Amino acid sequence: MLQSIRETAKGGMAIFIVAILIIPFALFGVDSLFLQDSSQGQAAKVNDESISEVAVGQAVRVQKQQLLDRFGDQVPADLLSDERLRGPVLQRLIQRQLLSQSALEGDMIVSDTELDRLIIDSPQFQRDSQFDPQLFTQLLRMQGYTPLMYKNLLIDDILVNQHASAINDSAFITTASIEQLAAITQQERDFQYVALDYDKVASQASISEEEVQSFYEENQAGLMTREEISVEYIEVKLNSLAAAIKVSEEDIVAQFKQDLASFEASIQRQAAHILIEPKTDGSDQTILQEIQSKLASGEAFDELAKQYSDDLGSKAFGGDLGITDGSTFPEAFETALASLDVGEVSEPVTTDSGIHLIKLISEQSTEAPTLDGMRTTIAESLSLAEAEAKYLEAVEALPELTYNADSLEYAANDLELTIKQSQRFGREGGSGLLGNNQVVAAIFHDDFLINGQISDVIEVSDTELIVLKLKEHLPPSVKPLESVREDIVQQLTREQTEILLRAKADKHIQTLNNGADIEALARENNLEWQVQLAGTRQQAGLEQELLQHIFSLPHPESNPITSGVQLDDGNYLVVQLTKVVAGQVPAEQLASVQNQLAIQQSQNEFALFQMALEQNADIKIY
Amino acid sequence: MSQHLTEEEQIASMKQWWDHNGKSALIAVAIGVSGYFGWGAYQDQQRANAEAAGAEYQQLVAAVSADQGLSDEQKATANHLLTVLQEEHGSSLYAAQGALLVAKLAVMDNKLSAAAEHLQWVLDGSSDTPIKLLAAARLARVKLAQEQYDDVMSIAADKDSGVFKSTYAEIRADAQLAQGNTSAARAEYQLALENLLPEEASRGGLLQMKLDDLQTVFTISTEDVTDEVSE
Repeated sequence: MLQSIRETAKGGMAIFIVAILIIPFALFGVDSLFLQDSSQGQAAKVNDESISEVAVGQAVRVQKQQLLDRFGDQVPADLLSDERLRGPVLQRLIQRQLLSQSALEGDMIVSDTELDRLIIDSPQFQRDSQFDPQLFTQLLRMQGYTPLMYKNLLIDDILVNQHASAINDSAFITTASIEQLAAITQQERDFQYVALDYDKVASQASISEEEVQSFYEENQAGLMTREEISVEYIEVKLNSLAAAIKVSEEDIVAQFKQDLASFEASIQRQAAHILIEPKTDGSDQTILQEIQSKLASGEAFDELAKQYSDDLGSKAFGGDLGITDGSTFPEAFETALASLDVGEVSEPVTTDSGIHLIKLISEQSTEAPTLDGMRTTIAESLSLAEAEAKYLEAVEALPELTYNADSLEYAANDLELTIKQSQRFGREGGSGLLGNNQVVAAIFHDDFLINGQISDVIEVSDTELIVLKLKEHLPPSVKPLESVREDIVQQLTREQTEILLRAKADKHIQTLNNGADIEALARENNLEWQVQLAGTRQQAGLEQELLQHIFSLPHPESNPITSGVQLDDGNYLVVQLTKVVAGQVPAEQLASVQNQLAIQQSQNEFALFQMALEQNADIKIY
Repeated sequence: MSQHLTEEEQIASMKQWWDHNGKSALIAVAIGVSGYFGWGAYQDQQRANAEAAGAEYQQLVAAVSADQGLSDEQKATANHLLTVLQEEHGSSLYAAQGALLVAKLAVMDNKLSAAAEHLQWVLDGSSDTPIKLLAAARLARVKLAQEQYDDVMSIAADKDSGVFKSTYAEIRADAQLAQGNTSAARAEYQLALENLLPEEASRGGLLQMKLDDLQTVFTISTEDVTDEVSE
């Protein structure tokens, strides 16, 4: 095939092909041909950009830390679970990505000068209020960024902020809107009402035995007892097994002797060095000699490190490299270090990096353990080891011992385990392992509940297992009439009272609608009469149900509007709305109200704007 | 194929190839190189352009972001910068954002027609749907304040309103109410409530208040009837 391409691709054709190839190379670079696109490691794809699983994981960790910092240990653990945090975090990352794309598409840009100024002015990269390039690279390296990556992140940050604040800060609310808003939210209504007392009417209600009987018969579904069961079970928990094991003093002493034999005192050494990188012209040897003679004449090692060392990471700290346990540095380095006394400087040591002069700053050795110090640890590890063996034995033997068995006794005797009896519990499960979802599902399986078979051995976790047998099953049944009579009478009384109250209220409403005076009506029927002038939506001292009802009534025209409302305490009110006055914002509060409402407006608008971005984008979540 | 040829034969065939195709190959390379540099120059130009727009926008933001009331001078600067942005970088998002900011400035000064002009510019010029949807909502509110109700109805039309469906419906309802069309207003408030998204649930209370305030004696009596039937 290549041959035939070569034959035909001559002259004009060749030019044409090369010309076509120029376009993708110029636009995307050669690497676009070799970078493979795959959804592996991606959490989502927003248009053509992906959000990596790593980025999501990092954002989740940051979020978790912020929650912990803000609320301390009071945060319930399940609120901090990765699964719980992941969704909202990913959503935020997607929205951020959308804003950033929208900004870039709109030719928004951060100039290099601006970027440099931002980095140079940033206090975290300053030492003695001067930008320190070394500190900059050091901090970046600690966070795992290259300067280019960091700059790109910063650009992204700036653009997203610029874009978002343009949308937010430009939100406004017109004076006309405020006036309309005030007219309705600050509205005032004049109304009066009489109260029909629930208790008075309730005392007139009488419930016959037949009514109770027929209610009982018609509503049996609502009068059932709860389905309850109890079980007997064997549970094996590694913790409890370990706690039950007594470790003898001889065993502890034997183990301690064994540990002591294999104990090697390890020494922690704090090292400093001066590094001289190899030079082809031999100048490294000259420098080495210069340093050595200066050292001999008593000049300070750390000053010389600052002056001569080629190790950019440590020279500023007088060559200090921190602490090593003997495995941190190349072998030649460590050997030389180990042979030094504190304060002594080594002869030149050569490694891959160059020539080192090494100084031992301090050393500390770990002490041999004592029996008293180690007793608890050893006892714990010994009992755990024995418990693990026992646990494994149970894991292996229990399924066979309980399969098709009539009872758990045989298995319990064989493995020296105890059979426990549960309390009665319902479909939500019992306490401890009996509340575990897997266990509850097994309990309410037909084989177990109806056929009475012993359950499978359920491994709830790596260290807990359980096997159960049904003890008793109490299916739901209708409660006897006597135990529910009281409740039924109460419910029927309430229903009857409400009907009576409503009928009374309707009669009063009728009278008022025919033109009667509410005060006269109150006096005549010996009712409490209340008047509220200029009541607001949040009028203090009045029930919320009453206010809600009053403010949902139509505006009265020539006649007052009369209606009834039942309060949560059962009392029934007959209300009469006489006047509605539109609210106003006092002139001196206008500006502050306008600002405050503009903030609310901007929150709403920004949320919608983000959703609009989302709707216009091609988003895939893997 | 080629591996069967001797070295001399290979050289000969290469020479032959060069005689045939040398010129075209050179031309192709020349086009490639000039294309590469041309593209680079074009990109530099674009970048310089965008940076200039960015710098002007930053100045505009600085001019309008005074904590307390702006001086007349600052307002004039902002307006001037906006004109420059619109004339020289009209397609940049910076121009649209500048227009949004200056429109707010105008609203705060009660210069509604100036605000409307800026918002209209965003609406006409931008190709960015989310920005357009937002600008239309704001423009419709300004038109509402100007009592230009026909404009409100067409700018905040239900068609293609996307996630702003409920917002637009509320604005239209306000316009209907201002004209005294109570029943049309009620229908639009109802539409706004029904299309309220979970993210904007905070608007629900006010919408319900507006709707409740338009109750008529007729609507309340039918409610009572249905209440009794349902029990």
